[in-house]
Amino acid sequence: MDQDDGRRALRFVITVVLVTFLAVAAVLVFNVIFDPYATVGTHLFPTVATSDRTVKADKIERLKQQPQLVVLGSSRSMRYEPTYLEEKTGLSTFNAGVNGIGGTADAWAMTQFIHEVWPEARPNYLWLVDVESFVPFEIGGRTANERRLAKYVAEASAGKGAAQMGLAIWQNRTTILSLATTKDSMRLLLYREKAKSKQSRYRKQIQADGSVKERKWSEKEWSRRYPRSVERYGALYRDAYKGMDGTAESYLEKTLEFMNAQGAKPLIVLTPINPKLRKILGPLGWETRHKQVAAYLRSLQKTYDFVFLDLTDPRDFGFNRREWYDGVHLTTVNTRLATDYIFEQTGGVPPVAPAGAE
Amino acid sequence: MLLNSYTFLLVFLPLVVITFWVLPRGYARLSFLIAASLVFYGLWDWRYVPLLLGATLVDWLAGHVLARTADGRRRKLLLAAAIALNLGLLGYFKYRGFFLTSLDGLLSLVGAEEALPALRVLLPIGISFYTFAGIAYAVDVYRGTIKPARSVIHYLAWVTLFPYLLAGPIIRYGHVGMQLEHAQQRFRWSLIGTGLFFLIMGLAKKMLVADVMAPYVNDLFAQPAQLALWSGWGAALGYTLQLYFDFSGYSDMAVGVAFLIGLRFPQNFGSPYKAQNVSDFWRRWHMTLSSWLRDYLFIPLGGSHGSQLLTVRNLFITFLLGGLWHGPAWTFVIWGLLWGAYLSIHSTLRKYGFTPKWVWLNRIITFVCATVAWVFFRAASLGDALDVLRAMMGFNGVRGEDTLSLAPVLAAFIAGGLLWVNLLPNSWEIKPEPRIRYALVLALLLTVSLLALGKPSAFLYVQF
Repeated sequence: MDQDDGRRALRFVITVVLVTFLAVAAVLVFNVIFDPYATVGTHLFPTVATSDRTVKADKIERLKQQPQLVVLGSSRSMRYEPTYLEEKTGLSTFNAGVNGIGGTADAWAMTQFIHEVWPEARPNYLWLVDVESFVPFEIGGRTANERRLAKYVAEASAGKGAAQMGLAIWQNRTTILSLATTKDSMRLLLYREKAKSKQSRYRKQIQADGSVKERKWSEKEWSRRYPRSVERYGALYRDAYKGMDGTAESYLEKTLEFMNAQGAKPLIVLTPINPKLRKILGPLGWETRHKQVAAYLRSLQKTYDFVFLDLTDPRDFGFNRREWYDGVHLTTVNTRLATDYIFEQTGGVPPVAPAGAE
Repeated sequence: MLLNSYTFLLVFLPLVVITFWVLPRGYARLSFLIAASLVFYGLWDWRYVPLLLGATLVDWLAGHVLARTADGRRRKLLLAAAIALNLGLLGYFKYRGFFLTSLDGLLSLVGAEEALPALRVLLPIGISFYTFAGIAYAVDVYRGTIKPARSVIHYLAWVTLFPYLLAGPIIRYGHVGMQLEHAQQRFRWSLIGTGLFFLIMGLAKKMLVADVMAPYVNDLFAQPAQLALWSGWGAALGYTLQLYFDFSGYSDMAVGVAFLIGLRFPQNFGSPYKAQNVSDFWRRWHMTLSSWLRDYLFIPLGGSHGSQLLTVRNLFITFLLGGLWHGPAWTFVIWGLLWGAYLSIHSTLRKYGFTPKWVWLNRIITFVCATVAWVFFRAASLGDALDVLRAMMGFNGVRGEDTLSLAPVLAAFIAGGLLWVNLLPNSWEIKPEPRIRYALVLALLLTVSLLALGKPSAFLYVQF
């Protein structure tokens, strides 16, 4: 480069900076308008991938009989098989677990929606709570963007103003300003039909009873996913999870209140964590949070009627060391062992009291 | 803070560059540069800032006293102390665990039941680079090839300079430090233009090539026993190219950032895969490390001036230590010994005139040698490396690809990457005119690279 030609160099630098700025801004606007994963909430176009909330809401509406036992929780609960639970309890079961850390708001929305669709039903609940269910969170994204569930988390979804959208853009800046999002926005623009086919592929993975199609354990999946769980949860405990979130607590408590009012005495189980991951997360704060969450849940037993079991140590149920997809997700081999242990320890699912009974 | 992160590119770097040029020349700029570098380093792990500062100050003091001492014996002692300090730091933080684990293994072989206590000492980022810089400074002052730093501020500004601190290139006081003392450039837009060119080229190499290949390569190296002929070669070639684009990308970015603050860093890569023999390869790959090893290890050992046997010995020692410099693992030991063997064979054959004359044959032989060596460099263990090599030699057959196939994306990147490294000029050979069409191409590359920053991954050489 000719270093003496200052003016040409200045024009060169300005062009690089300005064109980049304009291009990035254009991509930002484009991705916010198309909002392919509903992270901002513009709702101008459909999302590329149907969220599990939508699929589960559809399945609840299409259930052939009212559910007698409902599984609630995060992605860790999704491998608890309704057929196996039915075999053990004789109760018609639906798995309403959905993806995402946090999730007490999801559980609240799901119980409300089931009640709305099946007002006569008086199900009991197996609620798989994670130590991470009380991470400080925003009820953004998926639940707030599923029309049928959004009304139950109204404070999160009621007409996002410009400031809220701005905040959502800032919080999701790396997602919005990414090649993958731009590609999906383009797909929405150009190939609406293809986007729909991706939706249906995802839909097929969730079965009528809310369970996820069985996927066998593989070394390849474990070696790919386990390091990611270490990275993800390590970052969570290092940077974000410094205390229990008040909003998450309030959703849990109002869900319990509702369940009790309906005559249900839910079974609340604190989900297992792989001992290998626990060793890593322990010093980062997992042990402290675990104690805090367990103590909190025990303290709630004075106010609400529920059975509580701390199952964070998988050795309790004689777990299979191999059958983990990553540091927190069990395969069905282990969820079955866990289920057997839960029922053995708690005496099974408590019967639901008749409506109005004290 | 990663060089390939929004925080660095959109906040830290613009702030530092603007403030640097706004401040008056001299100590104000240098002090600001030190502060910025310490913030940059501290954001990795602030606990190691005192270590960096302590080692730096002792090195500066050693150089200062060396320059003022006439007595030969005292000078030798001082030099030995400075080198021992730097090697001691490096040894403690980098190799203590390795030696204890190896000793543990040895003891258990002879029947010892008690295991040695486990050590959990975190490796301070950049220690391999700043200790080597410190050693080079002490030796150069001792030899009288450079004058000692004008002040501790100049010295600190050089050692802590943030663009190189995490992953090189290894900069010497005689080059970059002297620029801090004398050049103190006036602001020129051409510096910013050149800086942007290198920065964007490096970022694009990392984000758009190396990081796209990384997951495929990692997948293949995660299951070496399942590899067959094509997937074995896919793993080896994939890593050969990934490492080049990753590390040369980092080096380009460091050069670019240095230009933005008016400094010229040395070239670290000169199209290494165009090398025509293994010796030529090391004149093109990680040039600042190879010249460091040459000047401060190989030549002091006697270089190639003695008998062929001595030359071979010196090559083996140099590359064994070069391998260990990368990390405390047997795979690096074998990697170093392998290069020692390559260079010894080449040196011997050349002496007797047995080297092939065809350029492309030489290039292919050199490239295959490097690829085989990178397998040891990348593999998690010696067993894994041998598994990959077995697959590459066809011992696992061509079958088995159904269990671990070579992804078409990786195959395409390997093909494209091979064409790139063999046919295209490197960043230093491109002379972009400050014209609008070049600016548009760079803006496009920068935009796409920024969009790929969503999942930033550390540069491979940061771990060394």
